[in-house]
Amino acid sequence: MSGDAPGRGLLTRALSTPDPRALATGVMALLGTIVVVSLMVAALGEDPFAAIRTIIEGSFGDTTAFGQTLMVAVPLALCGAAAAIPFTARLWNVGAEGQMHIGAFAAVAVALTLPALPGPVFIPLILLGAIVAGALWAGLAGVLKTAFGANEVIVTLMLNFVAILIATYAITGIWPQGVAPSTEQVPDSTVLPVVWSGANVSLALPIALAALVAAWVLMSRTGLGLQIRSIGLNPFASLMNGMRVQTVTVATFAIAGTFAGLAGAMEVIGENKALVTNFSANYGYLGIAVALVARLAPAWIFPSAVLFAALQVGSQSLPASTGIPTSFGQIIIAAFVLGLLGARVIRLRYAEGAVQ
Amino acid sequence: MSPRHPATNNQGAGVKRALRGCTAILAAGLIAFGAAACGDDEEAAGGTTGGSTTAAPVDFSVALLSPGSSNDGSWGEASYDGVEAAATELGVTDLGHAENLLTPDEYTQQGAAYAKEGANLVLMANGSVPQSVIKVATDYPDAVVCGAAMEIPAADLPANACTYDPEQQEGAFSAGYLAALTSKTGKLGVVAGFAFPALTRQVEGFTLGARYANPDIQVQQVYINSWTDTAAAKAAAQAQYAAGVDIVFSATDSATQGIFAAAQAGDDRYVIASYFDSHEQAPDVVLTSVLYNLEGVTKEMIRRGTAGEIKPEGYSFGLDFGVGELAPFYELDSVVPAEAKTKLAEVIADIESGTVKVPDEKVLGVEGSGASFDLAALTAS
Amino acid sequence: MNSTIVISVFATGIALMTPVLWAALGEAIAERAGVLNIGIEGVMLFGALVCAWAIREGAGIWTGLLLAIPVGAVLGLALAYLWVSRGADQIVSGIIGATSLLFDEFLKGVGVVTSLDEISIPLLSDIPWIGEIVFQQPSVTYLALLAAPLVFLLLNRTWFGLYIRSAGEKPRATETAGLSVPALRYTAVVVSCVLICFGGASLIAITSGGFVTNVTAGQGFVALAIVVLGRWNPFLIVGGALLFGVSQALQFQAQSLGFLSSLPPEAWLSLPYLVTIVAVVVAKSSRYPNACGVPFTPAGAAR
Repeated sequence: MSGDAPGRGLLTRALSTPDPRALATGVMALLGTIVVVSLMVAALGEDPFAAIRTIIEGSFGDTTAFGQTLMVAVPLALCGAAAAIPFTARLWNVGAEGQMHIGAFAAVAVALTLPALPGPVFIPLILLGAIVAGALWAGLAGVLKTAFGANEVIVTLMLNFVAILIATYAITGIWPQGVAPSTEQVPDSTVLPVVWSGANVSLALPIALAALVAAWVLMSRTGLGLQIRSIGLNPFASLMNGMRVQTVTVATFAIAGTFAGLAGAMEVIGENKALVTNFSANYGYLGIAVALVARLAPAWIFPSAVLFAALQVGSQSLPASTGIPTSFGQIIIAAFVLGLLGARVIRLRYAEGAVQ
Repeated sequence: MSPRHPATNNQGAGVKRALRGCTAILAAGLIAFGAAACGDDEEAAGGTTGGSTTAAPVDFSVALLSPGSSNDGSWGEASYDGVEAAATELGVTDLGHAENLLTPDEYTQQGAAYAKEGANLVLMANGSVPQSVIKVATDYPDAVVCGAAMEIPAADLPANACTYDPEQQEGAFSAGYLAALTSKTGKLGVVAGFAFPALTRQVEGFTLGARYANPDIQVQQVYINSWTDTAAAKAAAQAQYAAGVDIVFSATDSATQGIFAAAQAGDDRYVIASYFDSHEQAPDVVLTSVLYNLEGVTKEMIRRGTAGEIKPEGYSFGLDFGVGELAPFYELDSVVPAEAKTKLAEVIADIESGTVKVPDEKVLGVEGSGASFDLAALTAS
Repeated sequence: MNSTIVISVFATGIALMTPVLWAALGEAIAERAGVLNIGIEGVMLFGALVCAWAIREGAGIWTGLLLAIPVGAVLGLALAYLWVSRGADQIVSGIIGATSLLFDEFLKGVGVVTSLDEISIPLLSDIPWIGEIVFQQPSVTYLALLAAPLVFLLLNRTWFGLYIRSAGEKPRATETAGLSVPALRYTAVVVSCVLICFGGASLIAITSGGFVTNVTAGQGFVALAIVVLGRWNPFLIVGGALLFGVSQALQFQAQSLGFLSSLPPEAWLSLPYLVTIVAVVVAKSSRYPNACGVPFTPAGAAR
């Protein structure tokens, strides 16, 4: 991406893919984190090499494991996009978890209330419903921010709890199923078909990749993307230049919500075939870390998501083969992200007084 | 930036940056380490208990995945005790237990990990993950995978999977019956985890049992939407006690501790706990506990596994298997009137003989059913 | 609604607001100094964990509570290092700090079966209504109510408070006046984290039952909202915290509220969060301290 428009070069330089030095520091931070955490594991009397080997084998070791890693990377990447896009505009959307639950709610509502339709018609309708619901839910935070100056960190986080309770009500009150804490099953025609049967990878993966390409196009090839990025650099200057900052703010939240809503829908019409309690392993919150490690660049979100998914999936094998708790992988994640912050690989620019 | 020579300045900054990065990682790591040390303490406490074996070892290994921990004083602990008992009495290998698992993904991944390690039987003690049972069983045909407290349609059940279900409404019914006969205020309370049918049947079963003893009894129900939120459980119980309730029935896990605390704050307040004999946790307020014999049920499922008896079907365990027994009253024996004890024994006998028919979750799984169910229909033949 | 219910709702509400109140008071100090600590939730979780662990090891409730103070100080130093010395993005690192512990399931199941007794204050607790609501509470609740005026005095009636506030409003001018902005912010973050961590510990001490994953359930973020609602004024913050506590307590009386009892439990459970959102919306005219959230680079420092 070259500076093909005046001022564009500066923007892209600040916000595009990591420069080699940052990448090198990032890799060093990852290695450093692994060394430090390994030393701790050794200090606790466990074998760190066994732990690392188990994580790698458990996430990439065979086709089934690799498939699981890819399928976990799907919601992580979509939630990563739901954080990265607004973060670029310095809009702190921590509400992907809730937007995902609303998407899941909408998906199950569409799937269970519409009459039977063939899959190729039904599935797009369900995804559309979830995307719209996610966009509206996230857009609400944007409206509250622009109209009332309500801090979006607080609003989106509180909306997470409300959204999860709404999804719970679908399970307990609207479409309860037999004994289990789950809604009724969605019709078979709505379940995403498996595209790589050896690894149990469903259509969710190509859909997510397409969505990430759309995110990349949006951010680097459209006027709206340029506006989002320039608001992040300096909202006041953007306002001075006649940009409708408020409209762009609401739109940014709504766009973020579409990604998270899509993630929620694909959890419902994926393997679970229903809206079940706790379907999300905090994917919405992990998505923030995914976005930060990708330095908010859409092109890097999927690799970053695969890294997190591998740690998540691989560490699930730890208790079975080594007796080390699964938290080993999570300690790596937490220490890695904090380390990156400390090393200022993840760094966002400031305009004096630009908070809120 | 200080105006030094550009080249050296840049290099120096690079090294410095890397160094600072390392200090930051160290600092972050130390924080995580502090937390991990505490966590691991817990692991060790849970992990070292399964040692002694009296039965000859057999070539059969079991893994348990549960939503609670092996020391939660409730569902998780009771299930894990069953695995331990099987290890001691049947000689099976306890391959490990994965604790505090909530999401279906976690059950699928951990179940797959244990199956890959060669587990013969994987037990998933969480009703919300039927798809994980199906998926792990399909991917690992050499392992048998069974899920507790769930229903899977026969058509969807792989040949190496099963479900098992402790019929909890009967125990809850007799607890409600006892509570109504023991209460001095005529008001009972229920503090429950989630409003889904497997739980609701306990709440409504309790309510129905209380009405069977005393049609005018008042039963207040609160769902706190958590297995673990002690603050919510305490506040909920406090509110009920303040409104004149003297016995609260708990249908949640470690959050029950909050109910004990609320009961201990006043006089003549009692708790009926669930899943695990909670007497030791609060001897001054725990009137009794409804035991679903999870230990026995878990052990029995493992025994059926070793004998190769598990078929792709749903197994259910009722009062005849000790599911729904009440724990002893211990020190609080004098609180329960002699007449109540006699009548309780009669009702339990009636349930076992089928004279009293406690409806199943298709009826009691609906909120409000305990208050509206026709009492006459209980004893109708 | 009869008087028993009203009394019970408010009494429970005051007990439930205690951890949030401690956290909000701490946060107010940090924000006044120009540091936006979004990681409250994480610090509270640490306090809760330490307290539960100490009690389980047989150390007693007060040892657990007191242990949260040095732990809070250490966390404060670590966070101040990230924010003040390293100039890390306060919002981003705060979000990570707050949420990283959410998905750490290894901090689990530290069971405790004990809690602080309610203390009835003689004479005062005999006052009808007020006595039963305010003067029959656990000791940490009284302490929190006493801490509010102390924090007010600290911020508004001492030189230290003046310096802190100037570091948060006009850091450049503060530096010109010969004060060290980093030192002031370090102090503020440490004090802030001590109070927040103590709040987390009080959660365990009041409710008993021990540490479970995500025991704070978003209370750190509620505290963040309450600080804005209370406009950085400790007295108004008490009011904000009470609003939250009472809205949380209401759900447990839902069954006794006549026609409202037909609402699903989920509606009641979401009430505190909705109240918090409304509070943030209503507090629209609140102005953050001028330099809040902006890293400060001392003049002449090479970065």
